[in-house]
Amino acid sequence: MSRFSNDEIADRLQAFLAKETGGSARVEGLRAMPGGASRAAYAFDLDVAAGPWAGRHALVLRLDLGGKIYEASLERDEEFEVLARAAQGGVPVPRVCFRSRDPEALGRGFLVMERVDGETIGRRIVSLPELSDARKALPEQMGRALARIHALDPEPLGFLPRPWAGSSPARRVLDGARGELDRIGGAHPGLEAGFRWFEENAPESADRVLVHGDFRLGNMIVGPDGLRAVIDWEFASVGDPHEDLAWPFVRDWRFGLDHRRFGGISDGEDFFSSYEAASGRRIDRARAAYWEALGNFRWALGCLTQAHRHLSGAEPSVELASLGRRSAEMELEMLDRIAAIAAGSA
Amino acid sequence: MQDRPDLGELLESVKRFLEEEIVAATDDQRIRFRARVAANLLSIAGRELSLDPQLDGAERTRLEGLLGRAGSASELNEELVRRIRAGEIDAGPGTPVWDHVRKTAVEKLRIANPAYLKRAGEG
Repeated sequence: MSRFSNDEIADRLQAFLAKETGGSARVEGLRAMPGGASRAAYAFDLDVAAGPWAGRHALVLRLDLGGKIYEASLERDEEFEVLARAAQGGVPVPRVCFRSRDPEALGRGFLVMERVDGETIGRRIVSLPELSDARKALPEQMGRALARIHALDPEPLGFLPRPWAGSSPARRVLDGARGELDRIGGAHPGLEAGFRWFEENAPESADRVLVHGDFRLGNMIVGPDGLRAVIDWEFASVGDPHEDLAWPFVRDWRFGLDHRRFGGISDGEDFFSSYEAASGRRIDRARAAYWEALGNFRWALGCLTQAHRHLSGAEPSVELASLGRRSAEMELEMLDRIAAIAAGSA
Repeated sequence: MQDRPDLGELLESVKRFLEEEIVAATDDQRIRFRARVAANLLSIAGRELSLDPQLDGAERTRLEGLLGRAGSASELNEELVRRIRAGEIDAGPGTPVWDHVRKTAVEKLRIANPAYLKRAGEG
């Protein structure tokens, strides 16, 4: 939660936007949007009387919070650079209209982006009757969007986390996970057994692309026509394309429709084949299976990390506390994915 | 002995308050969501009260078998983690350690989310 009330945020945002637009700006209807554990998002409308911004705009404020789910998330300015590059590369993303590094404005850095109309709650995307056509179109649309993301040149984005020379994307992820396991403390033998297997079986890959880092149904803005924008770029990095290719298969991102392995909406073959056609890359199924198992491990650990934010007193929250007891779901799935790979049936 | 409501009944009364009265009293989606999350945590607490002694005993018995000594579940879990990390005990798929951690994950879910286990065919 922000340390400001919604009314205070609206007042401060209005003062900031009046300066930015050079006129009388009115912020109306500011309200918290669902989701976002490390970042608060607010929807609002901006009315500007005159000047280049004259008119009414549907916008979103993305505001940093104190805590981070993962240590390696990007600063607002960095996210802005990634979004700008993605837009240039033809990835559907919301346009960033304003940004502030001035801590006076709202206490922390923030971005103001256009508000793309659509649904972002995964469990609604998989079930709303009015999105049934969208569910048919989404796997191929997501495959093409991901191909465009992986075609972006990460080199100018020097701030993105990346593997050390001589290391690999999987090892970089495992190093981060080791640090996190040690930081949260407690004995987690199931995760440790998985961790050991991931270390012993880490793929050495020469592939290096711009990885979105949280590419799943809940980070797509979806309209009746399907994919409208890819959001939540805070976990972007340089890594193995299979990390993004496997992430939407992670069991929790099926939103209860477990038998449809890709996001609860398809078996994933349509996603893979559209990605291959659009990118010209061949997907290595064994490597995708490794990253899917690792994705379940990372979310199992992510749940414990979030619960730790509550338990440490950093951010008391019944919602964060509850995630501690959800970790076992991902732990069980991770164990079963690894066992399937070991048995040659993944 | 305390007068009724007993512990389970106390939890149940707070759970109904959250699910029925709080959820009906506000349009704030975040509060409504958190009230449901809180009610679910009370369900977990209720299952833990009735199931935990039995499951904890099963976990400790398996740990003692794997490590060849007696101790509390938390001590033995710490030792198991240390031995896995040091590579002193084989913990890959198909080993007794693997079978143990999988059973433990299922036991945790019998308390935390039995509906998930049912969906996963482990109910």
